[in-house]
Amino acid sequence: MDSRELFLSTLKREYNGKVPLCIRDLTLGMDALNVPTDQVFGKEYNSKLSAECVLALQDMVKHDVTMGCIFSYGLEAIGGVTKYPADGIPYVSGHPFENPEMIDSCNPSDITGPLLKGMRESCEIVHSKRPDLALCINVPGPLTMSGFARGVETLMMDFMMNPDIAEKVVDFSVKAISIESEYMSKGIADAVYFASATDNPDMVGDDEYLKYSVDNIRKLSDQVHSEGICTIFHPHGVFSTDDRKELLDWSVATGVDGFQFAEGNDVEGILDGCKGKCSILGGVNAFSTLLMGPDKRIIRDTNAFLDQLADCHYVMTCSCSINRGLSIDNLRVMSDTLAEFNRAR
Amino acid sequence: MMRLVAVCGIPGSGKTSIIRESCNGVKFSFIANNPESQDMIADISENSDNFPFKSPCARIRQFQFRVDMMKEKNPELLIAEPPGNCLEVSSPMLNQIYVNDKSISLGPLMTVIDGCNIDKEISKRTTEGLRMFNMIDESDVIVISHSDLIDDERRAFIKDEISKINTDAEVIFCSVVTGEGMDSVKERITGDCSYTRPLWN
Repeated sequence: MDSRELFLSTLKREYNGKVPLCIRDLTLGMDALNVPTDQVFGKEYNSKLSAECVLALQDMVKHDVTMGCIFSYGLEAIGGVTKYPADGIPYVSGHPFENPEMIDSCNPSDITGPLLKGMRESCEIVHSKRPDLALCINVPGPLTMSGFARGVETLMMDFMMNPDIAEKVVDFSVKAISIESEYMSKGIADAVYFASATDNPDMVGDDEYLKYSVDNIRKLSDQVHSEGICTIFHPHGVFSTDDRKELLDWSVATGVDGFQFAEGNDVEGILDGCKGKCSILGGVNAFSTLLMGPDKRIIRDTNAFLDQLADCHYVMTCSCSINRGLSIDNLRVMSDTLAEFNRAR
Repeated sequence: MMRLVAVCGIPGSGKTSIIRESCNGVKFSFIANNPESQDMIADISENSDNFPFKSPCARIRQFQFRVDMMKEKNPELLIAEPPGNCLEVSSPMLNQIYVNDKSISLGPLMTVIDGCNIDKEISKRTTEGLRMFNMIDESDVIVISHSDLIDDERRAFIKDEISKINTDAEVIFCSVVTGEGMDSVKERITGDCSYTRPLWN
């Protein structure tokens, strides 16, 4: 069984033996080759260099799933501004719908601009060079995309003060996500990953989470499934407690193949809600354990997650996406610990 | 070297009031969780700023960015509340600085908890309980606010609950009404006690 087969069979809950590793490598690949961020995101997106970075990192860490490209949200295509600091991580500094009148002047299909084209080309290169690896496409979840488009603070105010504008922003965002995920994944991807930091009941409340995140993830997941591609949902916030059980049930009932829990959740509560219904992703805290080590703590935490989850269709991930600045050596400690665990199974 | 002390805790726990009461007369700069908190401290701080509300994923970079901006003004002491909705743990933001910026000395991670709100069991089965558990678990110093409303029996209960989760944490009972604990809070903020628990937990 190669990496791709291992990932897919685990994600689809057809196999429950060795545990695959997906590190959601959004920008860390640039550190593997010591490439400045603005070299990948130059005048034109450098697809070839992006793919080289992704593959170099995979060669070092040996993860089973790559995201296929050095990632950015591509909001420039609809009037947003993203900054690319030479040694840093791309960040959105100008929201395209800060002025809500801009919504009507944009078409969701505009999202497939030059940046996404370059990212897609990078994924194609990675896919053609390493067909044995699984390829997962990273797209934002409904409220996460809406937050980038409008600004999170403004969007939260809209929910209370201007619900019509909030509806329009979310509607636009869901259409854009739908177009983006189809464009990026068609013919090459094994899974689409809904990265959903702002789809977070702690931020938006339970009702808004159900109305905007859950309902739309269900539609988006159905659409992706119709192309024969799997889906993973990674909302932030707490889902492991008794008072959030219903929210977790609804999140899983969207039909996604995998649910990734964020930091701060209790694994037992997540297991209660997900076991037997979908595969589980999540794991070692990227911002404490993986960032700082030492090796002993990484090994301890990795084994703790494996002990609790390995028998429950578990795809091991870090707690959140991996970006440049994180120690690749620390990631290798996690990967080596998993490899040792898998050898013993 | 700039000293950075994070004073964390859920909204309404009393972070800003305690900083105002304990650090009046101290030279410090301040980054608040929101504009209202910034206003409460602006007149007694050398420089002040606040965090705009962004997605949880942006929180860590946002914290470092604002700290870097404030560092350019060369304060000796920077007190920061956490950005975002204050419902998540704060050590990831400080860890990032611990790893990346050796020119900053990190003071203890202080968490303010409203003593009147620790009525229920700190259980992982409720969202509120899990939050409380995680915050206690990561902290070097736990400041129990509204101590003027807490009797001895209750103080013993609170100490006992905290020690079940974090035996290393120092617990300070504190009240802006009576002034209890303010000197201790000031000493932890301005003294030489350092960021420890999240490095080894």
